Amino acid sequence: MAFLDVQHVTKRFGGLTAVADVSFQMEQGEIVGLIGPNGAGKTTLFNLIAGTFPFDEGRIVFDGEPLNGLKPYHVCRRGIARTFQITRPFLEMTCYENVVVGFIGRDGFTGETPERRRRAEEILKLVGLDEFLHTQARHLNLINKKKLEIARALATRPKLILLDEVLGGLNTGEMVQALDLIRAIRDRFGVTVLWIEHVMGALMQVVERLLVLDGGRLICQGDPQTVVRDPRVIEAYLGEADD
Amino acid sequence: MPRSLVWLLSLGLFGVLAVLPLVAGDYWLHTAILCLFYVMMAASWNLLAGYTGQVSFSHAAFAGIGAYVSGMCAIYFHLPPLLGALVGMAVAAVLGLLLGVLCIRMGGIYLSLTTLAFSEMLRIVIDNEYEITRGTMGLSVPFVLPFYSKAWAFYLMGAVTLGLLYVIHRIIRSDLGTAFRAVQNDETAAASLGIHVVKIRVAAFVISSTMAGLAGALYGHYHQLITPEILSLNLMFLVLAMTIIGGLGTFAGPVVGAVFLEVLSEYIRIYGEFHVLIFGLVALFISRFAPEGLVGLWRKRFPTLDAQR
Ligand SMILES: Nc1ncnc2c1ncn2[C@@H]1O[C@H](COP(=O)(O)OP(=O)(O)OP(=O)(O)O)[C@@H](O)[C@H]1O
Ligand SMILES: [Mg+2]
Repeated sequence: MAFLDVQHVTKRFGGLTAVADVSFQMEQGEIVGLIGPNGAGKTTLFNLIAGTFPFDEGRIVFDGEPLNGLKPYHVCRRGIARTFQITRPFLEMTCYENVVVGFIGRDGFTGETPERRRRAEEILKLVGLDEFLHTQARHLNLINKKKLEIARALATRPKLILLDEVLGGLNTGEMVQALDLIRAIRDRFGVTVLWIEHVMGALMQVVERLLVLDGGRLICQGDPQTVVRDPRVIEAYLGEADD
Repeated sequence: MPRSLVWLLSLGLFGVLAVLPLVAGDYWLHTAILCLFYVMMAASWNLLAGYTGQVSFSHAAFAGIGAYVSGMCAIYFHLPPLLGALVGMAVAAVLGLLLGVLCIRMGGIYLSLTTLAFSEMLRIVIDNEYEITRGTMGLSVPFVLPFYSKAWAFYLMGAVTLGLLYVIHRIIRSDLGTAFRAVQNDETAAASLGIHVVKIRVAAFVISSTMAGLAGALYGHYHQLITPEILSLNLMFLVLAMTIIGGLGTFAGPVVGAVFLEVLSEYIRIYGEFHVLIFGLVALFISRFAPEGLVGLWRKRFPTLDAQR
């Protein structure tokens, strides 16, 4: 059975079908890219997996158990963490405290232990925020806020992480670091990655498979090189360019 | 603040508390006891409003619940006041849990409105259940201690207040406190990290209401007369103003605000009962222009003392 199994999932907002009959599977340890023009339904699909919205039809099975009807905190405890396209760090808390919230959410009120301190510092170092340990999140720039979201997501010891556009606004050097980070998430923590990104060039360097959404429908999936040459995908992006 | 300064301040505070009954006259001792009551009220309301962002208007009502339950335990079951205070606390906790579970899911302004409605309803019930509560006449209850002594009442209330502040301080520094602030900062993000937001908010509501129940019970037995006045919005807004003027979401804020405003009201009382209205307006102004209140202004003035924050 697949690690993540999305079966015929549909979500409507009033008259708008944001996600229409989407089905796909992921295996453990994969890094999969999710692309599609603006408004294609990518973030909505994340919200359905993460339990933010209930869905109208379909089924999502994760690690052998259905996620239907679970609330976000519950989905997180099952092992799915996420970042937000529009960042939502805890602004009035330090980077360290932001990460601790992830530990608390996953492990409960254990209190501060040397082990937890060490792990928090390790995670913040991995994402490159070690110099901002005790800086309040509101003082961080956008890139560092995105890194912080990845850090605190990792603190929940996820099996699957959902990344929603983490590369926007990075320069070349930062991009290289970010790609290394995403590889490290998979290689060092063994976390499966589902990743929404508009920066295609960078995405193509890392992902092993691509899913393409357009108008809520999954129009194509498979090997990245093949997918980007697919006429339906080119059409979807050209349509966007025409607007 | 540096550790040594905290110790020095605490020591000074203890000293002042210890000698106050020896040097203060009856009137100022009474004022000091009122200060302690307000410190307990403001500090516990701050735990809810300042650390989880839930603006509840039922805090005075829970003080009233504590006072009336404890008072009635003394009158009808001849329980000693201090034991009655524990019962009052327990009842406040249970009612806090019920009210919390009922209305916290709604959140935001709805929580404010439902808690407001709850406290007004409770006040009307107490006003009208004359047979049991003596209505607006008030319920005469025994003194908080077996013997009458303002000085010892002060020591007792002082000890309880310090204990309460200690507990609040521990909570703020604990994982629970971190979860409180996460929920206040961004509940969607907190939920995505596995935090059960409703549980955390209800927990804060119950803890805060329980503390109000304790404060109210001691206050009632100190006055020896419990009237529906304690549940009034007048008291609620005073506590709110004290917390905001002192510094919402800071540990010292409600303490500073409570003492400052209570002492101030003693001086301006002669101008009539409009002072709560004035405090309310000042609080509004402060929450707009200096959201961390007096404590925040102090921190701005002396940033070095606070480098470690
Ligand atoms: N909470 C909501 N209520 C109503 N409509 C929504 C809601 N969230 C998303 N939508 C709509 O659903 C559609 C898909 O939006 P979504 O955010 O999933 O797109 P996306 O693929 O993530 O786009 P982008 O690349 O711009 O982030 C859009 O038309 C959007 O307006
Ligand atoms: Mg999106």
